[in-house]
This record gives sequence, C-alpha cells and structure tokens, in this order.
Amino acid sequence: MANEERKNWRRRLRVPISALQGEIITIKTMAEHIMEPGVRRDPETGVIYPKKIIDLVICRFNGKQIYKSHWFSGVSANPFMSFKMKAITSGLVEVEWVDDYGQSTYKKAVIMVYDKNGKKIIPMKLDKASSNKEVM
Amino acid sequence: MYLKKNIFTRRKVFNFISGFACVFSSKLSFAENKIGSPFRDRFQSYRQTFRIEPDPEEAKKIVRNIIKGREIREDLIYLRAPDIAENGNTVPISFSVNCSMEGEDYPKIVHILVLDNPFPEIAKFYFTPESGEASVDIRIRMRTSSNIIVIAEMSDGTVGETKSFVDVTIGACT
Repeated sequence: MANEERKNWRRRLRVPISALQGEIITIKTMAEHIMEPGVRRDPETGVIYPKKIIDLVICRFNGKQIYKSHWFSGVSANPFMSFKMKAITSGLVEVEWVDDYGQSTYKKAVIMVYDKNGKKIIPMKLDKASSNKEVM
Repeated sequence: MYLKKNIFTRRKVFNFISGFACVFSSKLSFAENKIGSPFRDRFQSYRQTFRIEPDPEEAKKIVRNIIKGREIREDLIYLRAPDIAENGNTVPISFSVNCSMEGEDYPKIVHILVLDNPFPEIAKFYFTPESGEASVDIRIRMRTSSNIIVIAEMSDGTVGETKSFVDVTIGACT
C-alpha cells in the first residue's frame, strides 16, 4: 500500500533549456497516477474502487496562469499531456496537478530566452536589483 | 521451594496464554486487506448508486449545451486520432486549432467528448493568448469503438467541431 501511494506522487516535466525569442516551445508533462474512474470492481469481492483522479492541471509562467485543463475520469492512467507556449522572456515555468481529494503537487523548470544577437532577455531590470542591496 | 510455587500458579499461566491469543487474533483481524481496506470501503455504498451504462441521450444533451444552436465553423480544428486502437486504456490523440493567437482570435475552451463512454466528458482546455499555439497531445480511455468529438469555443463566440471514428479492439472499463 505504501509503495502504491508513493507512485502516485511522482511527476515529470520537460521544458527546453533555451529558446529564441518568439519561438513556440512544447512543454511535456507526465504524472504517475492510478486514475481510478470509480466504475471498476474488485473481481473477487465485487467492491467498487472509489474514484481517485487528477482534476486540475495548471501551468504558470512567471506567476501568471497561461494554461489550464480540467480532467474527468476518461483520461488514461499515468496521464501524459503536452502543450505549447510562446517564449517571450526567460523565466520560471510551474506546472501544478490537483487531485480529487484536494492534494496538489507541482514541478518547476527554468527556461532561458535569447535574442537574435545572442543576448539574454531577463524579465527584471538589473539596475533596480543592484540598488536593492543598499536598502537591505 | 517457595519461589517455584509462586511462578507456576494456575492464574499466571492462564494470563500468559490469553495474552498470546489476543495478539494473534488482533493481527489476523487487521491483516484482512484482501477483502477491502477501510480506504476502499468508505464510498462504496455511495458509488453503487452511480450508473455505469452509457446514456446516449445525455451525451447529446451535453453537446447541445455546449453549442447552444450556434453555427458550426468548418476547418477550424485539426484532429489526429488513430483509425484502429488496440488497447482502449490508452488512445493517443492530438488536436490543433487553426487560428492566430492574437486579439480575440483564440479558443477560450476546447472540449473532448467520447459519446459511448459512461461519462462522456473527458477533458476541457482553457487557453490564453500567451500560449502560442492551441495544440495539445493527450491519452484517453475508450469503452467501445465510437466517435471522438472535439469542440472549440472561440472568444468571438463562434464554435467549431470535428469528429473522427476510432475502432477499439479491447475496451477500457470507464
């Protein structure tokens, strides 16, 4: 039982390390989860396994929600999903999976976006970050 | 002589044996995971009231509620699904919506429905202009060979729909 439960929490996220500005990148996600539809019966005893599925998948880029999907019982076990994103600035990609029971897990990855000249595009201004040191 | 008499009184021996018996019996009662652990049993009576057989009229009602009598745009969605799926547990499908993701020309919600499943709704996808292309790959379950329907609700208020038939040899039990 303990091993089964541990398997349900394993998540995978694959985001390209670097991209050009304006390029459309693919984000691949995979969650190891028994997506129990709430219909299956135990063959020996006839007990119905209770429903336990992943309901919500949210993708955030630099804290802003860019993509969301609701899942129902028709999604297969160990659900794989891939979707697209437009690379404008470099930043943090977070993907969050929320369970039927309200339990949530998340994974994060960093993407660097380069200009045509090979310059990094960073969402914050460097001058202000350096001035923060004096305040601290 | 005095000590020996005290150790093996009838009462002490009886207590010793009964203690062992208690431990063994409790172990047996807790180890009955096969019949159904308490986690499995919790919702059993509640879940048995659910219908398991598919209801085609309700599936049509769901589609009608999404479209709401609007005109269906053609060539909006490009759906890729296999003709024959050997295993109904994992059917890989992918769709892409043919639009420029600028201004109001992007899909707000995209639905995936399989009409012969007992629960025909499979997934909803919410897009924003930040996601550069409205295309998703996903794996779904299918009970029998039936139509996959993808409906896209654009932010203008227009609707697009595509279907494709998939043959399933071994069905899943959704």
